[in-house]
Amino acid sequence: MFKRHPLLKYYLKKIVTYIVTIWGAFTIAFFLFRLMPSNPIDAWVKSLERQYSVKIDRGSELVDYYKEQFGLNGTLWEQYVRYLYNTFVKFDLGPSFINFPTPVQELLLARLPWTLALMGISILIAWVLGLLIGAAAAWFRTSPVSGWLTNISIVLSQIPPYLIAIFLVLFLGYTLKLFPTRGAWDAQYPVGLNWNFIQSVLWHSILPASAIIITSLAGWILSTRSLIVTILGEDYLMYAEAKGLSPWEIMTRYALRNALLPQTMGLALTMGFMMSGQLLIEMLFVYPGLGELMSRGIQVFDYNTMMGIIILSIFSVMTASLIVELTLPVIDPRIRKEIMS
Amino acid sequence: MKRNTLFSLISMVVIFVMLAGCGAPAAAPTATAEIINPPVIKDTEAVKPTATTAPTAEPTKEQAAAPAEPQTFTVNGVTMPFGRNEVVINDQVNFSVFDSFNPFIPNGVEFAAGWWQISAEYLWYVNYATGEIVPWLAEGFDYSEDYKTLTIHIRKGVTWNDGVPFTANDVAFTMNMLKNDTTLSGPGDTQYWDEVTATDDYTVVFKMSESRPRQHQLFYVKICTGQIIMPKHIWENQDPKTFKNFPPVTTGPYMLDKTYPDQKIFVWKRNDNYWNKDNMPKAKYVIYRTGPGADQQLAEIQSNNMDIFGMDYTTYVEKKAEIPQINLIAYVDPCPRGAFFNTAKAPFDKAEFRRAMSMLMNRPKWAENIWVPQSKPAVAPWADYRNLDKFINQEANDKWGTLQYNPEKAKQMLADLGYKDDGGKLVGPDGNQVKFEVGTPVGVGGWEYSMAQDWIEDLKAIGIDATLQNFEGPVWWGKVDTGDFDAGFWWMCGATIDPLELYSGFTSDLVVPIGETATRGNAMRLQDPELDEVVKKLSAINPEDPDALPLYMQAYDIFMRDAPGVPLIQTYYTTYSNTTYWNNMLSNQNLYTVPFNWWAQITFVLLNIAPK
Amino acid sequence: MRFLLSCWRTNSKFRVGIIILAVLIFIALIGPIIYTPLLKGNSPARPGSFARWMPPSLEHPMGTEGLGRDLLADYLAGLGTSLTIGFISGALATFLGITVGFFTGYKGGWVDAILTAIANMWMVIPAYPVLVALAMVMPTINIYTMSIVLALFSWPYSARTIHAQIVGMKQLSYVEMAKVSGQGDMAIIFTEIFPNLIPYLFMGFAFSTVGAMVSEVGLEAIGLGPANIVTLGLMINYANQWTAYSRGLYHLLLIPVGLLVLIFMSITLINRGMEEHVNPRLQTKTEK
Repeated sequence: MFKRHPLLKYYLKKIVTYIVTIWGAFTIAFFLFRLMPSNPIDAWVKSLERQYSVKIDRGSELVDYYKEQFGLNGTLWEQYVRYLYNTFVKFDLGPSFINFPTPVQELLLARLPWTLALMGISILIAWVLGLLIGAAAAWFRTSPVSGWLTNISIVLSQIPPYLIAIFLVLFLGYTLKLFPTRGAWDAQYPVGLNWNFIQSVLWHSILPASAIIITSLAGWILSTRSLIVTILGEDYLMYAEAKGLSPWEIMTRYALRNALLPQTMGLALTMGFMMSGQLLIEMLFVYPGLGELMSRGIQVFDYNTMMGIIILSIFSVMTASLIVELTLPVIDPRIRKEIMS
Repeated sequence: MKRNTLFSLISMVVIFVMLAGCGAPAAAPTATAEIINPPVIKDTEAVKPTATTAPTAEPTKEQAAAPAEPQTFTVNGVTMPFGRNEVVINDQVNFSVFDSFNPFIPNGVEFAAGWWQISAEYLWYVNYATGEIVPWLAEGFDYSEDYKTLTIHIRKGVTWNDGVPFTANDVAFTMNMLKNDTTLSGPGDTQYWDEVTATDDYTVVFKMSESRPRQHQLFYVKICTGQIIMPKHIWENQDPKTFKNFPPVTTGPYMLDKTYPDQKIFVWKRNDNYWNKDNMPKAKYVIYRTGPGADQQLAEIQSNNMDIFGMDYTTYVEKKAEIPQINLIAYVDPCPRGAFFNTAKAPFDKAEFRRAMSMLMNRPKWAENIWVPQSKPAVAPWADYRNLDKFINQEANDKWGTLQYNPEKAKQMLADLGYKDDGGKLVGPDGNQVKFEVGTPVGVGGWEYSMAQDWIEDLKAIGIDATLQNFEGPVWWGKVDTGDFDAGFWWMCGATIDPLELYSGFTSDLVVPIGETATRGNAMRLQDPELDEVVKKLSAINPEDPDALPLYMQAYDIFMRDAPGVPLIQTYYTTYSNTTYWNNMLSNQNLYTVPFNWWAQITFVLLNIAPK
Repeated sequence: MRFLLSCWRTNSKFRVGIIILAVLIFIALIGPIIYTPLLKGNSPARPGSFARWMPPSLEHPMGTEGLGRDLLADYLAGLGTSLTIGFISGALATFLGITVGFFTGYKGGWVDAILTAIANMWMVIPAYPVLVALAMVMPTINIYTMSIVLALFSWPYSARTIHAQIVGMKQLSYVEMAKVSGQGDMAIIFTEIFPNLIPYLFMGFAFSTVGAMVSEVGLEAIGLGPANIVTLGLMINYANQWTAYSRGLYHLLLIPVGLLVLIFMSITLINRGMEEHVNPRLQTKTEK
């Protein structure tokens, strides 16, 4: 059957890989966290003892009860099977500890829009700009401006956004007092679809977003440029040029189109990874996103919250790349051909 | 656990710092401050009933006239429908729970948001600043001769803020709820109670299985808070594991008005039917809010947007002249910093070794060059409070020298134990170099961490291969409880009014083997029959009994000899108050209660201040 | 070596990168000579050695900081440790990556399939949060354990690069020839494949070093660095503890951040220089 339907085989293979990789990453993450020598319940009991400044002799029952609540009872293997079942069959990530007994999925949903808005929009802006500037830099690859642009991009591309953010906060936030340096919006406006609120959100997002845009923009410029430069050297474009196609047509019809595919793939992956949030950036700007939630979870070793965010991230990375892989044969005839042969 | 200097980089507001068991904003200042040592705590029973015992001291500074009265003002971006001069604003850490006031489940209530402090009330308050133990919801107590029956007399005329009278039934109900369900977080004492009953509306009787002459102290507010009582008529038909208790019904001077979760504000309004009419607070509102970050704080202080708050001491010293309306209050925390040893593990299984290690701790230098503001070396395993002085056994201090910095003596003691210097390495009787790890729940750069770091340099100098590591709270306490540690630096929350609080945590019946979790204390795993014996005798005797003091002296001697944990330096903290809108605010000269806005004793400030 | 020399000759980015990095390494190396006399026998990290916040003077050219240490010594010592950790973990990750990449790429088959699958699973786990949690519970963090942990999270990337190169090279005619002529696997790897991989090894190393240092700074900046030594990331953390922003002590932030940016820039330039040397099409100026 697969012999006659190679495309079907391709799809099946991708979907199986998708499922296996998600399961594998889930498993690695689960055991990584559980094998770390800490658990939230004992720590909480300890803090109670200090709060009452008495010894809690009732400790063990209290601990047992909450271990059960948090799915920390039984052997590691039992915990794993139960957690796997709850996550993928019941879509239940368990109660959070930092905000007991609110389920983790509720916490994630509350934080998700902030991360999506900040990261998603910055990544998208950087991507579009990067594609355009990169294409221009490739086209005018002999001009000194292009050369300088590329050099600056190279220098910026590997600097962690966090360090850029410190610079921005220092100069634009403190010295010049141009932009707010903390929070996601001005607290005087109620959250909702009103202009004041939206304006305030945008205003507050300028510094964190710039930090992300600057570094990822440099990366996109470089990769787009090198993709297009490579394509521009191909014989068929020489041929097309000889045939009398205008540079604009060559650029849009061949070069940009060919660069678009791998770059879309890259965008999808980056979008997937943003789910874990830019932890340091969100902490620096006290931004109420998933990264800040993660940092709170880690502080008390709230397994459920930490795993929830990791699972969300794994799931979105894999789904994003699956979508790209499944649509590639549809939009790119060459890949289809390769699969069919 | 809330001590998370790990993330302190990012913002003070994101962070809880563990001070003495409660959360407080972090600060990293320098230089010296004038510290007020609280006087002696007076005798428990001889205190007049409802007085808040505050002196009517005049303000200590020349103050500018209060600004013209605005009808509204803005805090954290919210425009409040009342005047700035009608409210006291308390700055706190980053809040996250706004709809739940259940103290019996994990994270069921925000700790430093006002409920524990100014809305809930307690049976007794220990006021370290005036030296009094103030009976509040209780009027007094009696014990039977064998100290197995405790009778608490509840104050008459107290009402919950919904009008229902507060009675002994509420106390008995709450205690029975905690006794019957040990999965609720509550005191360990419940296991000793055979029966808790309200014999009438104003009398609660505890029948206990052992002699417990200090049982009533459970209801004292000692550090931060005390045992809380819930209204029976609200809680009796609820499942305490899921009940949100919102809005909370309390007996206190303030009740919940409104919360602003997005802006991180709790607004408390005055309970105009407050039972304690003589002490009706003057401020109509109290706000607990998540304060601004260190960066915006100064601007907000200059615009007088806060009344009781913490700030970076170095910044205060640098900017003092610009903010004359701000009072500095420096205060001794009840927990001196401490170092602890795992006595079940070599080389710390020998008391002489532990004492030698303690003699390598340069306490005077740490007090002067590390702690901010400058502090003093500890002379006893508790805070520098006058009421505890009588329990210090100076003879034992001199005999053992445990708290003296004395590297020569330490080397001598190690040599006597069979440790030898082998080409710069200190080699033990087993032929191996002495090697151990020091842990701390305090982040890199924190003061406790830095003291440990300095200690390690002294250890290396005599050839010990010691390393230092900081752990997040949960990890560290897990390691300590299971005995998976050698030595650690944190704080010694031993004694506040009675050293037995400290000693009883080191008896051998609490010890579990290494690898098992010590849920009942004594994670240092000290086993000393002598100490057990003294603690047993002390537990059954009234602390005021003339026979008690010699026992206290003996316990002190054993503790200094065994040194399962040693105090390091006094813990001084600073906090600040604003005199712009309120008279009789706290200052170093006018200190009538514990000055921290996350301690329940802060209520006395609200009951004593007057508008300008 | 020959590869590096020819990079130096032909590529200006490579030269600039090397020069910046060499200067930084030089400063780090002579650091102890400068700061030892300032410290009066104390180690650079020892707190409370001097009074706090002393202004700059001859004895303390940059003054002292909030823990009573010499600020200049902090930065000199920190530069050294930060570089060391970056290089060690970069080398470790490259080694791991090469081993796995070589093995899977050359052998192919189910070994390849399984190891590649594991590498893929490892890569979709967001590394930084896991690193933070790990660093918090690690029994001892020193330069070496820190490097190992960082390497554990950056090997899949170099493994993948090497893997792709090997798979490509396997099909090359000269490797086929060697196989036919009956040379053993090891012989083929070392005589035929390895020499051609050298540029990619250097690139992998540079890339892993940058990757490891990004995580390193991220961890130290939240106070999770190794104990008892100073690093640049840790100095950023301290700057915040000392409220450098609100007190206007901007140099406390600018110096460590600036040094780190210089390190990242120089390594990236070197990496790019090597890439351009191998793949001249990437170059900015030479094309016609």
